[in-house]
Amino acid sequence: MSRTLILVLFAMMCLAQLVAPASMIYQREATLAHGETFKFRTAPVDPYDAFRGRYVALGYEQGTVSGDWSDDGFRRGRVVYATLERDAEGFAQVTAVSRNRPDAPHYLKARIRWASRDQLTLDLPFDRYYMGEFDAPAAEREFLWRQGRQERRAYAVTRVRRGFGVIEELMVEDQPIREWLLSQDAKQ
Amino acid sequence: MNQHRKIEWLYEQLPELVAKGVLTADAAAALKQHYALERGKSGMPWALLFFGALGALLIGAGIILLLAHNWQDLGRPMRTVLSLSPLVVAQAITGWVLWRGRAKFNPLWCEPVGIFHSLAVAASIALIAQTYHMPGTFDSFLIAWMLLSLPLVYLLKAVAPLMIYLAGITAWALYQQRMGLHAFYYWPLLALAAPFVWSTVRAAPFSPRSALVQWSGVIAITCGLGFALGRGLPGLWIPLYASLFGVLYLAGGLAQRPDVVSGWLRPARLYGGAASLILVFILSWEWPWNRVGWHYWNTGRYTHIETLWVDGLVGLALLGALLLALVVCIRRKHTQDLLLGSAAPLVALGYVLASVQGALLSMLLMNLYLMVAGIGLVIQGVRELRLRIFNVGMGIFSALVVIRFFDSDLSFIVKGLVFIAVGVAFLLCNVFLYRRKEALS
Repeated sequence: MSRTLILVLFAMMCLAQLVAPASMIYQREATLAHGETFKFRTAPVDPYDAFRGRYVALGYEQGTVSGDWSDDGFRRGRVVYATLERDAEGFAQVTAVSRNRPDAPHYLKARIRWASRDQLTLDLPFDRYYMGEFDAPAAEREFLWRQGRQERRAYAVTRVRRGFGVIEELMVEDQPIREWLLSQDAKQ
Repeated sequence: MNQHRKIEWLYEQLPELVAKGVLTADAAAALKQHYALERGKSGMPWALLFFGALGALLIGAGIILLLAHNWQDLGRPMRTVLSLSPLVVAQAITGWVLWRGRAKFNPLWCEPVGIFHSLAVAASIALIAQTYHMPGTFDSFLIAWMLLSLPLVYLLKAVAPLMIYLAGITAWALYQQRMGLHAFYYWPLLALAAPFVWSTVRAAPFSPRSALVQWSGVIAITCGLGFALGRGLPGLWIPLYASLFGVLYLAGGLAQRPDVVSGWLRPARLYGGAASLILVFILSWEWPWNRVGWHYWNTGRYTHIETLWVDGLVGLALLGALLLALVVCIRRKHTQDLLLGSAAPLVALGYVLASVQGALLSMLLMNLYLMVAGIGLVIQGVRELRLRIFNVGMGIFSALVVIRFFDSDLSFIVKGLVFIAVGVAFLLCNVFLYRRKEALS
């Protein structure tokens, strides 16, 4: 390979390496700026992912959908589209799951985590909320210790646009989780 | 002793030899000069590679940890700039190496540069994902990382990024399989690395660099074959793995050069032969043959009938390559490898038999084959007075005897006596062969 060709190929590689994260950023920024707001009720736990720092892992009530899923296309690992509607409080409800992009105004692209003939569990595209390395375990402690004694009102505020979902804020008792953690510290 | 140590030893001996009058000072100086070049070549670059790579890995990992741990207080634009900075630094270093021209650097310098750049790609994607709380889709992360860093292998002509790539796509295939998906894209992904593997091996077939590339390749393809197979036809792995190992063994034998004896430098042959034998030993039990073949199609929700043709293509390619290797071996009268090389077609026959007749016949076939191969290699070893071949044959035969007796219901005394007899026979034969060889030479 001539030096010029090597340098041209190198430049193309560098461009691709920068375009990939840039497109990720653009897609998310566009969703945050123009997406519709939906709330999802959560149940956080806290694993550790060395690659991405600490985060609160989130599961959603809306992730499990009952229905007739005996069709062969609804298998574990497949990508599906969940049609979303809002209830009076602004919480999301999955009204349909389809294998193709639906005509509905609001829908989310998600992967099937688990499938049986009458129940689907979806991996919604906001299954984690990154926090500081000290905040995440604190959040976990608060949830785990108190969960037994009182019901916490926890939910994720998300933006949804053209199948993409981006988590905007994790709320506990209607406060952003960091503020809520600070208020808990203040109480103690 | 490796070449480097031998030369070091010679250097230490020279003053004494001159003092004793064995060598003249001129002769000693001439020897020193002759080996000076070799001395400079060996040793150092590998240490450089190892520590360079280790350093790059540590720096890369350190950067990831530093940036990933806690940066909530930074705004999104600042985080984005920080996320992309390791990548830009890595691009600048790689760019500098390529701008100056690879030839101006020790080729081994390209390895740590490649490792660092590859890790920087991963760090940038992961950090952006963290900034936007992106979901943990590990497979899409891996694929993006691998495809974006694959060009480094070709541009830097570096082995370490290739190893990262092979490990990455194999991990991706495993993840896909765990998700219940059919990872058949593994094959085109593997093919993307093939030209580099081929050109490296062609350029210097028995160099350490080529050995490293081949070892990475054979390990990746062995794991990948298992991960990327669909689950439709039970036991399909048996003939496919046998063919893969058979092809490696025969191709390694055909490419062999008589002066290269180190097994480490001939991965295809050593690995293919050893893996073939291990596979046949596993198949000498009845359980792998139970419920295999086309009478037991898997039709559950997690099998992939619609993509079974990919498995079929892979199977045809492997069987075709095996037959080709066998034909070339026979044409070139390279018959000494046929004893172990015939394991794969026999396993394929065993698979057909097990599908039609049940497990028993195939199991017997494998035991019979191991016995014939063991005895055949012993005879070949004695005839050619080659201890290594003899010992492999003896090893196969005694392992077969020991395993079958271990399985049987005979008393411990009988088993013990048989084991002792096999051990004694092993030792005596070795002593006999060694003495004969000594006497003849």
